[in-house]
Amino acid sequence: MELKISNITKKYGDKIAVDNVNVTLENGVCALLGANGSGKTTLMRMIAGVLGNTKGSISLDGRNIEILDSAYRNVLGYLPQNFGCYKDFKVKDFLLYMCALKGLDGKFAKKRCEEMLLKVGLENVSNKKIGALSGGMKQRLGIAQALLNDPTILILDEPTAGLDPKERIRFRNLICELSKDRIIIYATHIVSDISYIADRVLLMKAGRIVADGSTEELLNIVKGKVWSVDIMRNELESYQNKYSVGAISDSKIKDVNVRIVSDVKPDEKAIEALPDLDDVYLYYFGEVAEVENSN
Amino acid sequence: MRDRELVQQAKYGDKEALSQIVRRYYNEIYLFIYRRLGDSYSAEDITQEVFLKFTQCLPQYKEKDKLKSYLLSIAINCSNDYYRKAKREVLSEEIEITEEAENSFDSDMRECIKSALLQLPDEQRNVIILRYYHDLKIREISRITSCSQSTVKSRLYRGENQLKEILKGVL
Amino acid sequence: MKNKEIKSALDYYDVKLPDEDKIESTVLNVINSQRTVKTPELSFKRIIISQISSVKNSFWFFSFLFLIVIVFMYLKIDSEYTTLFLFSTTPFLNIIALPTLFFTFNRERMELEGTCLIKPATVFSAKSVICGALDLILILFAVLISAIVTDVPVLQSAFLGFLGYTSSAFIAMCFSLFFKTQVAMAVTSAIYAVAVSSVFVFEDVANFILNMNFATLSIIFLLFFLLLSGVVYYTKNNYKYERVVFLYGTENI
Repeated sequence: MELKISNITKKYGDKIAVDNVNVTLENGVCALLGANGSGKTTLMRMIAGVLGNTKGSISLDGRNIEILDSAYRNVLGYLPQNFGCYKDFKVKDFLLYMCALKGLDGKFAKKRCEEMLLKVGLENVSNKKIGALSGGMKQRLGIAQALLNDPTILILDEPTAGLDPKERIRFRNLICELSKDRIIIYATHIVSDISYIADRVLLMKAGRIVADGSTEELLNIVKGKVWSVDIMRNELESYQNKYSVGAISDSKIKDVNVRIVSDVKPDEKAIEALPDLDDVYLYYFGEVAEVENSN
Repeated sequence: MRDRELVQQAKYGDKEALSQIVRRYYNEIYLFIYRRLGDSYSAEDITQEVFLKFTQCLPQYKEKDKLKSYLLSIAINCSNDYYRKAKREVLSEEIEITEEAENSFDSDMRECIKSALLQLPDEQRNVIILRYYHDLKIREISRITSCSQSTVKSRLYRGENQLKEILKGVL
Repeated sequence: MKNKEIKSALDYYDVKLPDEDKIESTVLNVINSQRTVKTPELSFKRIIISQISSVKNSFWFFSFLFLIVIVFMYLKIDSEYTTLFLFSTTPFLNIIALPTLFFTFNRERMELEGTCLIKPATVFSAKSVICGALDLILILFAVLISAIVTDVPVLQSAFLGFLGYTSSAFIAMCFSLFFKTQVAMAVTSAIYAVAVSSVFVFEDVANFILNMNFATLSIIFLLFFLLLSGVVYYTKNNYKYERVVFLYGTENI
C-alpha cells in the first residue's frame, strides 16, 4: 500500500498553512514532528480527506483519494486533535454510533466494539459517559473508534496529548502492535513519542517538510554538531543568547552542563556529544522540544 | 451460524465470517472443479479463484440465491475459462485413460468413472456432477448453469445415456 | 429421479481432498484480497435506521406534544379558527427539527465524522427524511381531524398546513447556511411568532387566509416547496467540514 502526497499546499487567503509537501508513505509508522502552528494538523486533515487542498493531490495506490471518495474513507481511521465533543454519549453507545457511520452494523458492530474496548483496556467503563472519563481514557477511546473498521491507514493527531507516562507507554506498545501491515501517521510535538516507535520521521516547520528520514538518518544530520559544555551559572545567559542551548543539567566540574547544537565548536572546553532526537529538534526548530512530563 | 448471517457479516468486513464461508464450502467447490477437470493442481488454483471472485462480488450478492448455488455458479465460470484453454491437453489425456480402461477389466473402477465423466461433453458433465454429487434439484441446476429446466433435463438424460454407453461393460 | 445404476457407479469416484494447509492458505489469500479498496454497499434505508437513535429527544418530545395539542384542540373547539391556529404552529415543528439537523454538526464532530464511510451530507439527508417524514405524518393527521370535525375543505387545510411548514423550513434552512443553528432557530421563531400573532390579532388577516382563493394558495405553496427543495439540495451538497469551519470560524489553522 502506498499513499502519495504530491505538491500539497493549503492557503487561507495570504497565509500558507501547508507549503508544497511531497511525501510517499508506505506500511509502517511515520511520525510528523513539529511545533504548534507548523501545519501538522492541517496536513493531517488533508490526508484524512476532511479538508480540501489549494493545490496538489493525494493518491492511494495510484488512485486520487477524491475519486476514491467513500472507498478511501472505508480504509481510513482518524483520531483528531480535539476529541472531547461526545460528552453525553456512553462509551459503548458512542462506539456503536461510530460503527453505524463506518458502515458496520448489527451483531458484527457489537462484536467489534467489544474487541476494541478490550484492546484499549476500556472494557470496564463501557457504560460510563464519555464526559466522566479521564483524559487518557478519552484518548484511548479515540483510538478505539479509529480502529473499528480495521483501517489500513491510521491517522492520529497528537494522540498522546494529556497522557501520563504510563499511558504513553501503553500507546507506544499499541502502535507497534498495529504497525505491521498498516500505514500509520501520527503528528506530535513530543520528541520521546518518536524515539521508540517511528520507522520514519518527518520534521515540519512553517508548513514545509524540512527533514525526512529514519531516526538514525536524522541523528546523522546533527552528528558532529552537538556539544556538551560545563559552565558557571552566571555564564548561562550569555551562552543562551549566543547558541542553541538544549538540555541543562547539573555538572560535577562546574555549576551546570549545557548541551549546545552548533555547526562549529562553541567553546574550547566543549566536548562533542552523541546526538539524540531532542538535539535534532533543537537544530531544526531553534527551541527546546516539549518534555513529556510537563504535560 | 447460518450462511445468511455469515454473508451479512462478511459484507461488513468481518474476516472471521469470510474465513468460515471459505472453510465451509472449500471442499464442495474443490470436488466439483476436480470432477469437472480431472486435475488436482488446477482444481486447487481455481477453487481459490472462486473464493477470490466471491469476495469481489460480495457487495452485489443478494442473499436470495443460496450461497452454495452462488459459489457453484462462480465455479462453473472460473473453470470454463480454464477448460477452454486446457481442452486440448485434457482430451489427449482422456484417450490414454480410455485405452487403459478398455484394455483392463480389473482396472480401478474409480479411474473408469473418472475417465467416463471426462469423456462426456462439458454441459452434460456439469449437470451430472451437480445432480449426482452435489444433490442439486433441476431448478437449482438451471439457475447455476443459466439455462432452462428443460435444457437441464435434456442434458441430464443424454449424459446418463452416454455414461451408460461408456460404462456398458462395467455397470 | 436419479438413476440408481449410475448413482452407484458414480459413487466409486471418490476424490482425495486437499490438506488443511491448502485450505488455510486459501483463507489467508482471500482475506488479504479484502485489503484492497472495496466499499460495503449501504442502503439509504439502513442509514436512516441507524440515524434514528441520534435524533434529539427534544424533537420526539415536541412532536408528541404537537400530536396531543391537535387532539385536544379539536376535542374542545371545532371551528375553522382552530384549523388556522393549528396550522400556524407547524413552522415550529420545523424549528424544533433544526437542532437535530444541524446541532450535531459542530466543528469537532464534523472533523471526525467527515472521515467516516457515510458522508455528513448523507447523514444530513437521512436526518432530514426522519424529521420531515414525522412532521409530514403529524400534519396529515391534523388535516384529517380538521376534515372530519370542521367545515374547512380538506385540500385547503392541507395546503395551509404544508404552506406553513415549507415556508418556515425554507427560511430556517437559509439562515442556517449563514448563521449558527441557535441564531437560525431564534430568527425563524421570531418571524413566525410575529406572523402568527398578526393572524390572530387582526381578524381581517385571519379571514383573508381562510378565504384565500384555492389557486393562489396552491401557487404560493408550490413556490415555497420548490424553494425548499432547492435549499435542501444545496445544503446537502455543500455540507462539508469546510463549510462548518466557515460558520464556526477557523482556529489554529
